[in-house]
Amino acid sequence: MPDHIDDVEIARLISVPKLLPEAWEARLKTRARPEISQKRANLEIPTTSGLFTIMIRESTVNVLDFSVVLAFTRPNGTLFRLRRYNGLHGGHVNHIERQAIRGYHVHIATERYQIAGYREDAYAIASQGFADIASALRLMFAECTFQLPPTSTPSDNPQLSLIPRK
Amino acid sequence: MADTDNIEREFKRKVCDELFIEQEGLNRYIVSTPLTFEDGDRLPIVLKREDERWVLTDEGHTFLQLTYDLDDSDLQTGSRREIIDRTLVSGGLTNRQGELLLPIQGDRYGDSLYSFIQALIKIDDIRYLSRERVRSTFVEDLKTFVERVIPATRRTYRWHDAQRDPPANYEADYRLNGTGTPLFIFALDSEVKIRDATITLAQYERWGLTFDSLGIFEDQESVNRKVLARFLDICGKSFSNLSAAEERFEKTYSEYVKELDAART
Repeated sequence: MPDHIDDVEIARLISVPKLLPEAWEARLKTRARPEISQKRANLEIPTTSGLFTIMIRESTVNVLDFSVVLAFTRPNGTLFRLRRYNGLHGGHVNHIERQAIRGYHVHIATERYQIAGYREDAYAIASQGFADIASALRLMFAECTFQLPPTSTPSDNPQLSLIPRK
Repeated sequence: MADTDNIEREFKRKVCDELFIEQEGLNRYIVSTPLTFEDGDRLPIVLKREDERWVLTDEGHTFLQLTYDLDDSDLQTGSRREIIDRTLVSGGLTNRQGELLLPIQGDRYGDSLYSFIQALIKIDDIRYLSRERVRSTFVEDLKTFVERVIPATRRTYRWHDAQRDPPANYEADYRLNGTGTPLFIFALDSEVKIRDATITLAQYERWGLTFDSLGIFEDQESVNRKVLARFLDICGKSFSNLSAAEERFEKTYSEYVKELDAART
């Protein structure tokens, strides 16, 4: 498996600081694709270690079915999925550990699943840390070394901010 | 033969034990099987009542997870589209705006389930035709936006001056007509595109064309300062990102969004 990424490198990519651009909330606003019954958004985050992409997908048939994905672009141009925060869509099976998972779960890239011939993020853990796209984004930002843009200031907007500000 | 009967019975029992359905909502049941996509997520199978009949549906999940790796156009054209269409026909499924459905005929739940499972797996396999990088959706999003707010009779996609420029070396993403002065729109998703738009606008000026121009950036902040400056010097107006364009276009360019009896330009 010539292009697999090992666990050390996966951990390093997670720890690479990822600076969100100024208009990140607008650019992560999902837009409807009615012809395939989904809403989606993509945002690329360039870093000195390479290009990361945030992808959001939500079903318009089942609003609890969504994914918030953090991917890294490999040298060959394909996407390597580092983390995927999934809503409710029928459950998951960790084939190596022979575990069944129900409910909200987080897919995590591992070396062992790549070696076994599965997708890089075929291992998942159950999670109670999120229940919708906004909370999944918050959790991903906290776990995967995201940084708010430097000019962000607390908003007077009475609506809750996506990221709690200190 | 007792051993064979036992093996057969045990085999069937254990296979059945792996399959269960669970009610989740009114007339809606999750069908759980041991089968998964390559990422370990179970095949999305829902049994629900629609229009006096039972149907199996994936509620759009198969295409949703395919679009991590593929663009919409990958699903709607070419060899992938052919495979999807063939699979749907052979399995008796329909594609309702991205939702895969199989009505159950009579009480043929087992046959229907196996056909449905086979179709989902075959469709998911189209990702292996080639491993695509997911490009930004900016250009598609902009196209969707323009087609939503500008009547079809008032816009030309990928316009060039057919008389002065037959090979289309100087192309605008959109030409909007219907007023005294046409509006050229440029979708700016890369520095290469911005440089090309700068050159194109300069050429339109050399030809003596009368026009207004609008650049819509994917992300103006990420553009090289000099590339940006050269473009802004020549372009009439710009929006720094698509969201800004969506908020302000109809107000700023209200004269272009109405249907007209006949185009004036």
